[in-house]
Amino acid sequence: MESFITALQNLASPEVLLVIFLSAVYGLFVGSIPGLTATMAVALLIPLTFYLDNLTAIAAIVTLEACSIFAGDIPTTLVRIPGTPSSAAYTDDAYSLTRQGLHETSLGVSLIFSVAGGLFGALVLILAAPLLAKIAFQFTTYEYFWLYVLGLSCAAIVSTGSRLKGALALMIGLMFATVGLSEVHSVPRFTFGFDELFTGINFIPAMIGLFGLSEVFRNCLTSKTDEVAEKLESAHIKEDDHSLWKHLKPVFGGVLPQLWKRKFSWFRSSCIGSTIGMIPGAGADIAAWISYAVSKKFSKTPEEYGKGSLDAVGDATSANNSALAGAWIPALVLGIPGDSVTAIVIGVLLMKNITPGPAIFENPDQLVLVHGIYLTFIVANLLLIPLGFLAIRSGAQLVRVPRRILMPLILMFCVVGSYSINGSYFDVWVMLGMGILGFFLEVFAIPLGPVVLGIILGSQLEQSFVQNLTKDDSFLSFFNRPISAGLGIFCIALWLYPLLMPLLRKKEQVAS
Amino acid sequence: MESISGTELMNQNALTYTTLRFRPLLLCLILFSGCASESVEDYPDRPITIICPWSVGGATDRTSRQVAVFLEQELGVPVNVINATGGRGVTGHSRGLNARPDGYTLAVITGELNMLHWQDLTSLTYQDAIPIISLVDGAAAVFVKDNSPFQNMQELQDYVKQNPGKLTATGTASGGIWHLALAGWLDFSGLNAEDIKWIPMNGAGPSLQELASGGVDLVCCSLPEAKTLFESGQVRCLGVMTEEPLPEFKDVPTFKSQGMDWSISGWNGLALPVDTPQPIVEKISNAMKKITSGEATLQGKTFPELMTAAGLSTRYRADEEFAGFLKSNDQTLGKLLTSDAFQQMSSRGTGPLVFPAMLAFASCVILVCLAVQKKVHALAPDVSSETVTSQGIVNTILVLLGIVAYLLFAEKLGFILTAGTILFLLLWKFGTRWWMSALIVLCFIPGIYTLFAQLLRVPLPRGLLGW
Repeated sequence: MESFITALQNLASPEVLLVIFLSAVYGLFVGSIPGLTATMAVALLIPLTFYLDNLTAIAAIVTLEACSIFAGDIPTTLVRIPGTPSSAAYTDDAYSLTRQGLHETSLGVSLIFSVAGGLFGALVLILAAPLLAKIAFQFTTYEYFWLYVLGLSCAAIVSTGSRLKGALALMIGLMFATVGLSEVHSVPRFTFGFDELFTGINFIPAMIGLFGLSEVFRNCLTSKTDEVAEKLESAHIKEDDHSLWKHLKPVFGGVLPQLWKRKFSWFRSSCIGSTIGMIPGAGADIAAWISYAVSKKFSKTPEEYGKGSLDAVGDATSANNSALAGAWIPALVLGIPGDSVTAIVIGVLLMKNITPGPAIFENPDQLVLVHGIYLTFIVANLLLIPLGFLAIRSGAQLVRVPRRILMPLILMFCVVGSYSINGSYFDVWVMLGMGILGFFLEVFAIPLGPVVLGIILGSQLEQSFVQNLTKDDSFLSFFNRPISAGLGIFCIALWLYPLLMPLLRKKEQVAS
Repeated sequence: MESISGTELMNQNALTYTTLRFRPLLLCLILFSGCASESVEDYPDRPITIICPWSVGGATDRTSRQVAVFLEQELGVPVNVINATGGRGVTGHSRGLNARPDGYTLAVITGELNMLHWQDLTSLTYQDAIPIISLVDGAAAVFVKDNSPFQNMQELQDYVKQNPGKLTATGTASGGIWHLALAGWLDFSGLNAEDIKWIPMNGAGPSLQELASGGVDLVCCSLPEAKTLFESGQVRCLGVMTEEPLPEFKDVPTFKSQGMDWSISGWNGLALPVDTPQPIVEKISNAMKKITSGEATLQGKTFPELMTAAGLSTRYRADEEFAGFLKSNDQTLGKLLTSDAFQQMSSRGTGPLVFPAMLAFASCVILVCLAVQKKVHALAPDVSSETVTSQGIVNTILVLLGIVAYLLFAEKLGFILTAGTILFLLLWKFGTRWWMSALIVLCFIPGIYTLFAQLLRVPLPRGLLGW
């Protein structure tokens, strides 16, 4: 308790609050630029953290992370380019809402559910850190394998349209993931003599190409009228009301009833988010996909998913934000990063002479830091409400710009964004190729989401698959541990369920 | 700082404007400025990039970032770290060492540089690098879980002798440095290098987690990498592969003290691409000597102090000494990697094409199913041929050409010129008035440049004119 008060005092100093504020703005900014990820933003912050004291440095990282994950929703919603990979799951939903002129409501839902999810994640971090880390620590390569299968299956199953086309998209993504030097065999595959392809296909330029560039192509080719802008005009009925509510209403108007209506699904998604965040290697993006799938499964209106469902956006955003705090649990308790941001955080802690581990919960000085992290998660999420609101309002101006101006500018951001992640021209070629591919996939009604997740998770899936087979070459060994058996059976059931359903129905009909 | 970038911005605006109005003049300008070579005396006058071949959070990354902060202070320009990961280090090493030798790209090299070419994964060798200084030198160590029956290396050796192929170990990819360390020890002990199954993993972090969750029996990696789990007692160290005990871990027995004369370590260091001008090499070398000797301080802390705090064992070998070490290290690793024991090992386990073949098979099955359902050619409802106009086709081709033009000319002309020209032409051809297009270009291109190149430190191409 004493350390808690000390942490509160430290955090309340004007300098720390200023740093938190600045990193929130920075996070919102970086997150909303496609191609710049939260990880990159944190990595860029590292040199600065040398000049900050421990608590301030960590507080800056926490705030930056929370804000940039939310900010990723802004370009996702407005121009259909996921700002961060965590937004890829609900890109179609969010963008469809924009086309209906509901972008501010959608972003409002994103914001409030992100904050609610983030606060829930913080609560989980505070209450359950040491306890829950123990469970996640039981995960071996077998459990990981099934976890990846589960994540990928969800992406294919929840995608709009034909489930088979979703599966095909997934296979395309997984195929792309096999390009490059295989980590397990150290054998170059499908590199066609390009040295750059040794690294494989980077998913950030791939994502920018698939979602962003293909959209530019589609818009250019059909030279559509500015239907979105028109819809927006009609949505903004001129009112004489000059009060503050006029500005707040489009963003927050429908949100609180939505939050109340969806309180149970919010709770469910946040639980999924923090649990998945805790599992090392599975971060906010997988959390978003899985909670999206679960949300669709339990929804009364699953047919709306992918075509602009506010429920989907709300559930997935609360999951990806609650995953952030979850990822800190293994990082603090075991020194094993839950995601790429916490990997950097561990480096920062070590440089500041703090070794993450169970001991930091006992050392009073370091306990102050731990409590500081808890508090920052709460402060950062609360700060996100006003700042996120401002970001939404200023971002919303984007959709009013005529397409003939917007498209060349988006193109410029696609090029710079895909270049910036590694400073490599090859990534721009990848972006171009993926843009063309994405365009044709869309023409044939093949969903793009599973392709992206396939590229992200493919190599990990293959690695755990090969690792399992190296340990024991019988497939039965995939089920020889309780958790892996449970996960495995669940995954298989997930795929067999739609195949068996017609059979079961027929039997029922015969019986009746 | 603010005012300088302000004037720069204005210059950029003015020059971008020139681009649009006086293209022939600009061409001459480019030709002239091409003649003037970059002055070595002015080095460094723009941000420097360090290429780290491994991912964030690891020992090499931590070292690179620490070096970057100190170099930034010593050289007075921003120093950024780029993690060019993947391909077991091939990617990062080739990017660092094949970079333009102008001193603005530094390479962090690791032990893999002396291993990959023996395994035919790259043609790069230590001769492609100008060695500056070696930094980390982490000896391999063997870890077991706290409840493991093994108390020392002898017990382990005896068990493996009785039960070859029963135990599993991990720590890095197959053929990586820690795999080499363990297999080398087995070979040294007169055992078969395959008697402990190696599960390939992506680095020490996930490997240690696998050990703690009971997925493998042993982990071989360096001691600092396992510091947290080791100090909390969740893993036990059976021995470290050095001659002398490590200063920070005095209680950990060495292999030598257990009667096994086997030592191997993973290292990293700073290098420059070959053909870098001598004055630049000397400048960086002197800065690094000042940093590693503890002369330079940052917030009252020296580089060696911060490295020790991070638990990294360092060994600073400068210039000639580092070059000598690289050569002997290359021979040692080459001897191991080309030995019979290692040659046999590389051809076992699940083949590299098994997984892609499974995917291809699954794709075929899906396509057949789709064909049966007659859904292969089902088009998306909102993409139909009626909406496509001839203007639309022209516009799409323009977009494609724009990207290709950027890729071809950006490096030569620099970001501002290329992007500005392309953006202007696209806006204009899409139907925006020319003055409006010019205005947008003038606002956005310098804006994007400032944002990415200055604030976010992305190495945007600078081209002939330096912007």
